[in-house]
Amino acid sequence: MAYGEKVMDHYDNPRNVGSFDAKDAEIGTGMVGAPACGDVMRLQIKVGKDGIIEDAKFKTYGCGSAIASSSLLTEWVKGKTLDQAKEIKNTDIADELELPPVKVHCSVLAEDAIKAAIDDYQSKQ
Amino acid sequence: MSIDFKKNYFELFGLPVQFDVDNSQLAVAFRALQTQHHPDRFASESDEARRIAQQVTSFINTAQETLKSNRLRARYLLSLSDVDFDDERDTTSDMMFLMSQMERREVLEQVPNAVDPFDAVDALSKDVKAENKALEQAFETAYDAGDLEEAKQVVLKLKFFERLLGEIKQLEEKLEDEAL
Repeated sequence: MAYGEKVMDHYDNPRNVGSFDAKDAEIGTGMVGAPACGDVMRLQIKVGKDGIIEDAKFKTYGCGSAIASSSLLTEWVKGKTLDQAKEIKNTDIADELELPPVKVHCSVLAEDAIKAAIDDYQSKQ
Repeated sequence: MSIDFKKNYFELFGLPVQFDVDNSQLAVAFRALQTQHHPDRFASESDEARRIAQQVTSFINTAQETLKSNRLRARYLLSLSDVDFDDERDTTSDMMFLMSQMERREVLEQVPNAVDPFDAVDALSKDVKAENKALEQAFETAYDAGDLEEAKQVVLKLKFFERLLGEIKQLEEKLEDEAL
């Protein structure tokens, strides 16, 4: 299947790949997996004292769409409050990346990952 | 000549409806049905007879592929008990499981940099196969005990292993090609 231009851009130049120390109090870690395809995604946020997401990193083992979805999301959440980040919907990601219907579940994975990361951060405070 | 499409895949091959499958019995029953319904045997018959023969063949092939794969057989068993799978929305959030999957994939990624990549991939493959086997046993235990929700969770996990095992195999083939 041919990937769209925006997916290829994130796939070739993924933004914010890497990890933070999950034990740090200012870090929230979200891990999710898609049983439909076996993709695994880890998304981490670093939250400042003002409650704003300062930085975000991800590592995704999966298809191009899953990598692009998580890469895009790490760009989007930076500078947002936790509440704002929670409002990002998988459809926003799918629309931006022009994902075909069979790849929409990759954006669902990214939405679940950021929600899990926020939950993890909040449970530590 | 047709078959009863209402039969489940196990009944089609005369096998008991259970996770444990006798692969040689499956192979023999599959070949017998395949021969019996082969579209070539209907080449000189009516369009209708040929069309039915094709449908039957396709049904038999799907049934065989489903029962041959441990994961698909497990999933099919659950579907017979009305357990639904939603491939678009189901996500796995078992942290311990996902962390171990992540670690396995990181190890796989590092295999080409190992002093002996063949040893590294062999060791990983052995571990992953053992874990996969343990999961299959966990499925059988949960299914036999009637714990279908737990059995479903195990089936979802098996997909990650299928993917991982596929990637390990690809890497093994790549390493072998490069060694030539």
